[in-house]
Order: sequence, then structure tokens, then C-alpha cells
Amino acid sequence: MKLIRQDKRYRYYRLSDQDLRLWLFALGHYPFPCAKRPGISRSGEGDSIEEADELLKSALAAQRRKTKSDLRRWLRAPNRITDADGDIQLRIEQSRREWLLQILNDIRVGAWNQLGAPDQLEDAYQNLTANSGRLVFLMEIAGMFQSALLLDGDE
Amino acid sequence: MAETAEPLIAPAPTRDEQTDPRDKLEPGYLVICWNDPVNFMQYVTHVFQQVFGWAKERAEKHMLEVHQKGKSVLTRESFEKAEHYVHQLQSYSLHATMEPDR
Repeated sequence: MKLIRQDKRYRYYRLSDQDLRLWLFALGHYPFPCAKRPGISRSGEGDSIEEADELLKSALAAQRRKTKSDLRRWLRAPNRITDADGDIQLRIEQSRREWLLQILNDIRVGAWNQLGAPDQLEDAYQNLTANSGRLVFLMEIAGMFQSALLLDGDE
Repeated sequence: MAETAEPLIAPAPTRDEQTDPRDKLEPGYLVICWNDPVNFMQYVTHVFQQVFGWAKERAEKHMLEVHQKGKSVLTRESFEKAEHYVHQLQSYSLHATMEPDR
């Protein structure tokens, strides 16, 4: 996935067939169940902290439901994915970059959580099973696209 | 016409300073980001820039503190503002919490 040009409204990326398959595979896993969502506070001290934690949990869950629905629509938008001289062109609105970064990171962190949130990522690569291998694969793919979006020259 | 993104970030809270007595009662809350092995350093820097509007150098300083010391105190705020920042940071899947500053 490589940025080929951008203007005020859009970024245009060139993808191979394999890139596109991986892109759709990764995004198809959003949202990951957030089994180990951190609470709003570690100490749990402070007035109203339990109420705030419930509100945060509820707000994040609602946000994820909405993002899931928006993502499905976004992927189906006209001219989202087009042919480009034998490759594939992906058009991303400038305003959606941040949103996609959050989605990809949610997938990456979600996969890591399902792997048991290992302190050392290398631990996740040991004794792979079919399921853990799929999660590691997903974590890496999401990270790859995340890096592509981060590194594509916003400075 | 280009699509416009729905913001994933809740609007900043507002308070009526004259009628809220909590300023005198509460100690303030520290917004802390904790280290994890999964979030990319560059991503964490990017999120700090987005959420707090910091320059890259300041964001990198806090990111490195998280990475090297296990956590970084990002800001000290009222309850509502700290809650708002934690919401934003957790929307980006960072491990952030708020703790009373005692």
C-alpha cells in the first residue's frame, strides 16, 4: 500500500491484489471484542469514579457500534476502490485518515488482547496454534496498514 | 462532495464555574498513559499530538517517558476534563486512566 498522490480532499493509494485482500480481511474484523478494556482509573479512588467508568464503557461501546456501521458503508462507497493500470487504487478522504487509524489500532490491540496481552510481543510468536497464528497475522496486518497511514507524509 | 468523518471524540465538557463547588473540594486528577507492548511509538506520539494539540517534540517526550518509565503523567485536570481526555485516549486504544492527585 503506497500513497501515490493527495489533494485537499483525498489520498490515493496504490494497492496490489494481495494488499486489497489483506486490507479487507483486516477491516472485516472490526470491532474486536474488548475483553480487557482498561478501566477509567487504576486506583478506583475519587468521587463518581464508578459512574464515570460505566459512562466511559457505554460511550465506547456505542462508538464502536456506530463505527462498525459507518465502516461498512464507507467501504462500499463509489470510487472507493478502482482499477489503476493493472493495480488497484484506494481513495481515502483526508478527513477519514484519523478514523481509519483508530479502527486499525483497535484491531491490532484487540488481537493482542485475545492473544492474552503478552508483555513481550515475541511471546505471541511462540507455540502458535491455528487461532493464535490468525491473531498474530491480523495484528501484524493491521499494524502494517496503520504504519502506511502514519508514514505517508503528514509532516 | 467528500464525506465528512463523524468525530470519534466526544466534545469537550463545559462547566459553569460559578455554580460548581467542586473546584474547592476536589484535588484534581492526573491523566496517565501506561506502557504496553502493542501500540507503536509513532502512533502514541501521533495520538498525543491529536488529543492535546501538542508539538511533536512534546508528544515524543511523553511517549518516550511511557516507553522507558512505564507511564507518563500527561496533564492534571478537573474531574470532567480528565474524564474527557481518558475517553479520547481510550478511543485510540491507548491505556490511559485518571487518578486523583493527592
